[in-house]
Amino acid sequence: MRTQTHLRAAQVSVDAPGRWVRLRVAMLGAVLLCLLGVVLVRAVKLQVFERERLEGLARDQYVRHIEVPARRGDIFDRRGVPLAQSVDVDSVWVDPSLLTDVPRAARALAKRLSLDSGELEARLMRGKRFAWVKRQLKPREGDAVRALGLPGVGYTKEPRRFYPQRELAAHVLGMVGTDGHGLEGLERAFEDELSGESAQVPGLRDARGRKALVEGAADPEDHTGASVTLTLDRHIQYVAEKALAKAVHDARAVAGMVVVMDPATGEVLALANHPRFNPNLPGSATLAQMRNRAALDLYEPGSTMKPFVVAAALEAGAVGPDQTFDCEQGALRIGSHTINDSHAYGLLTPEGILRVSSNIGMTKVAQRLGRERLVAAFQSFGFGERSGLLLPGEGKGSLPFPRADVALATQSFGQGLTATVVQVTAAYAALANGGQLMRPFLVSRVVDPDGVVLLENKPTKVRQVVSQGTARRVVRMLESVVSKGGTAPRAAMPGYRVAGKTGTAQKVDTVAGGYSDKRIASFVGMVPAEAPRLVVHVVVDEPKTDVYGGLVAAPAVREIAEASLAYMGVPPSQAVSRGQVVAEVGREEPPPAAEPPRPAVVEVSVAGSPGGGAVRIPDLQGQVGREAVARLVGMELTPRLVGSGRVVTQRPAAGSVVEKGALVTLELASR
Amino acid sequence: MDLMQMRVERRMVPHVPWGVVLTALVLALIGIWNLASAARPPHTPVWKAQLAYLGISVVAMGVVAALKFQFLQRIALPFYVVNLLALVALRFVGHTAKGAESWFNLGPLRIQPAEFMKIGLILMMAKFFHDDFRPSDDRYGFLRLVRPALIAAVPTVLVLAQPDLGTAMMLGLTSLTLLLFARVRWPVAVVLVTGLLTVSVVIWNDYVRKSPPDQPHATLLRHRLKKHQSARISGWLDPESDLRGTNYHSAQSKIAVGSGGLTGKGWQKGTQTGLSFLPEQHTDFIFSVWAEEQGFLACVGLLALYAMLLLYSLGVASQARDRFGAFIAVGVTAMLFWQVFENIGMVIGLLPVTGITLPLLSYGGSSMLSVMMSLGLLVNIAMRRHMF
Repeated sequence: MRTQTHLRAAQVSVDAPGRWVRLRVAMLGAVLLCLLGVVLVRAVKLQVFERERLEGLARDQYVRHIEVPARRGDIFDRRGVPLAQSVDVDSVWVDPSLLTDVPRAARALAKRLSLDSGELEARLMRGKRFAWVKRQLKPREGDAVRALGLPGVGYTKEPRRFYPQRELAAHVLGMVGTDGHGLEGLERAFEDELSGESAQVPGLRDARGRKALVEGAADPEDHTGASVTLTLDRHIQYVAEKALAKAVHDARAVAGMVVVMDPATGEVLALANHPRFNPNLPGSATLAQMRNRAALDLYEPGSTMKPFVVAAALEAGAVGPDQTFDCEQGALRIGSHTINDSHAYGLLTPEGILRVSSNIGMTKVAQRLGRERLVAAFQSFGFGERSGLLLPGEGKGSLPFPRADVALATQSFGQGLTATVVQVTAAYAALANGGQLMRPFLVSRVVDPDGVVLLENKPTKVRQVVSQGTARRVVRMLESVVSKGGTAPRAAMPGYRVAGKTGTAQKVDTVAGGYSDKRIASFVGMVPAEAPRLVVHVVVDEPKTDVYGGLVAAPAVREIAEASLAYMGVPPSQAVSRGQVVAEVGREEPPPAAEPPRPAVVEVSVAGSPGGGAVRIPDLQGQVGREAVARLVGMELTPRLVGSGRVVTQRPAAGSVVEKGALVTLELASR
Repeated sequence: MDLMQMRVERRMVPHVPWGVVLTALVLALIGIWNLASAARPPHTPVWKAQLAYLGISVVAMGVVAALKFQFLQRIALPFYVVNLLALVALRFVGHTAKGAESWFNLGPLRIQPAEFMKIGLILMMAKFFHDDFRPSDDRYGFLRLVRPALIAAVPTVLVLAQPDLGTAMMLGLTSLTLLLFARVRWPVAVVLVTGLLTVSVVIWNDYVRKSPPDQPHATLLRHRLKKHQSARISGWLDPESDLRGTNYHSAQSKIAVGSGGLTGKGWQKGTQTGLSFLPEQHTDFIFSVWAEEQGFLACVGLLALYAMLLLYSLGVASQARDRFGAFIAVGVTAMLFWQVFENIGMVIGLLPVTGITLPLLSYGGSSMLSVMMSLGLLVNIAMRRHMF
């Protein structure tokens, strides 16, 4: 620099710019740098001080909340076996702008996904940055699309309703429509709880307002509806459905229904209709076919109502247990009507009347009881009011006051009034439960994903319908029904004492009025009779081969009862002589089988409880967080969750015995 | 072009201003890297084209640098006139885009004559101040400034009529810089500065001043401007009043820049860029892409590079062998500076949104070519600084 300046000084030229140029250049440089400094200050202001505000504005622009429905809650049986689940399946979308050859890509995708290639191509042409190709793929289809290796193809997990047990309990569960809403059954009844609150998931949006899902933005595990735990037992349900199907098939009947109930608690252990449907296949059944008729629809029960009349008459002292009634050799005229028995009988005690199911004998008992007390007795047994299973559209049943003599007569054998199959089963459960009517229930708990119990049904006593003595006496009488001289010897089981009652009702002819020749055959069994653990009710609609409940329905009841008692580990009945039972009843002792009601959900605590205020911690490894929480809460333990997903470690370890209320720490992780 | 007019001697080589050349190349390569992010799919990947333009422009720079110094003086007037004619011709055969007639369509090429007018104006002004020099009276009064003012005003008005407010502003400011650089008398300086202040007052009166709706005050200039020009000025003054309205660009680029923060969102990670909130992001608003994706620190770096380029250019000016060379160097520096200042000022909401490119970073062949040719002039001057 210095040498150059010297050099320049020597080379004087006329138009040499001279010193002033350098001065001005320096001034100009200073001015320009100052102005650049202004720009810099402005950049500092924007990028450092106003950053947050501008970032917010940016986010407001490109982040659009996309409503993603919560993952629908699962439905479990009483042991935690999933009956309805939401599984994540792939939905495939594409950014058409990244496809090099849209028609070719459309053809390839359409072939793998069995879509119409022309329609798909049109769709891809329309969507500029985002277009669904197909939603809710089968795993095989997802693999096929991945194998194509096309650019711009993305996958989003979407929950899909899946019924792992297929047809099992399908009528109870109902079904979810293509729009994700429950159509029937519990799916519809607990729509709000199961569907949960949909999440506002941030998605990207470009300047023209097009939405683009961000892959993996929504973790459905974080957003779930409540889970519903039922009182149903998958095994008993399975046995019941199998036996019912066989009964309906053998009798060439149009339909059938079965209810299995725990008389001590009112829990519905099995509830099924036939024919069945597979809820995994949408459109496989009409709404009518999906209707849970056993719980909702009304029918005239027929002779299965007789024990309630006898119980009420004995309770009221209107008849004595050994009193005899003349059964008029099979025909009794009441006004212009004639009441008939299937066979001609002479004098019968109440037990005899039940054993042979004499309508005439029953009429006479009812006449002793009187109209008011008959209706009151039915009401007391829970008829004419909803049993409260929490299913939408549940029938209430009608109990018209029997003004006419013939109405009194017909009502005594279960015609001229209506009830649901569940109501009749619950009324039998009251007899089996020492006269105590328990409110039947199907849903034991609804627990939201955070472990908050939204609904919990505990065994609830409705009322003492008849005294324990009367109830036991009637059950004892009903044991004769399965004896050789009774109407249902086919329900007798080796090893267990069975009490029960047949029903063979005439169906109302809705077209012509009056009764048709179509029948409803049913049988209700209570096993073991000395201390019933189960009430099993099978109804066969319009049997063609035989019409009698003792022939059509009783074998199914026996099959269900045998399998269920073995499954539950109920010890066989001791051979008890009749006198002993009567003596016991006379002393009004507490029933030997009156167990405390078992907790609905927590089988583990029953199985593994060391007794007292201590519980054994179950193995929760691999369980989904909310299930684990539900289990711990059910065992009166305090869960503490770390992370989300499935349980990977638990403290204290599985099998340790802790005080109730103890803290159990679960560490969760998603795979 | 006549090859006889080009001459490079060995003794010139040590004087090549490598600072200018290398800084410009670094900026251009940064620009291409940035373009690859700015125009990512579904936009055309323009960075490849830009790379080609850069190659052509470097060759053009070499050619300009090799031209004989005397030849530059000789062609100053013809080049200026040809460019003026091109601007006039544009009125009749120009291609209209975005509300302005700025392009010639030559087959696949679109040429923006205004870009080359910048060089023509600088050469012409330099030639004038060189020829006009009187050692006895080296201070310019009003009378002696009429001719250079006319030289500057004619192309400026023509460009303004396109209408291209940005380029017109730049031509005006470059000329003003050159006028002030020539030794003006104090009154002249006062008048020029007053002029600038007047413009500010007009803008305040027309766009900022609020009066009751039933008694509107007289506007000085606003009613003469085209609606989109007028709206851009108001948008510049109050950019966030309506996000989707006329000041959309201004607000969006501020959002993009501001959301970049200290370290930026990462290359090709810019949301405002990727989701096309900013149209013309790869041309006029390229700085917002850089700011959003690379962050404040990288912005400082970029400004530092531009500052380096300007200082190297001024270094060439201060060592030029005559007034012609010094004025060219100052003119090129001023042009580069005002373009950078206007463009970045517009992107960060300091100045109104005028369609003007960021030298070396914006996508565009004409822009790249004219900048590199201007820098070629600097190389030319620097190489010949000791030749007589």
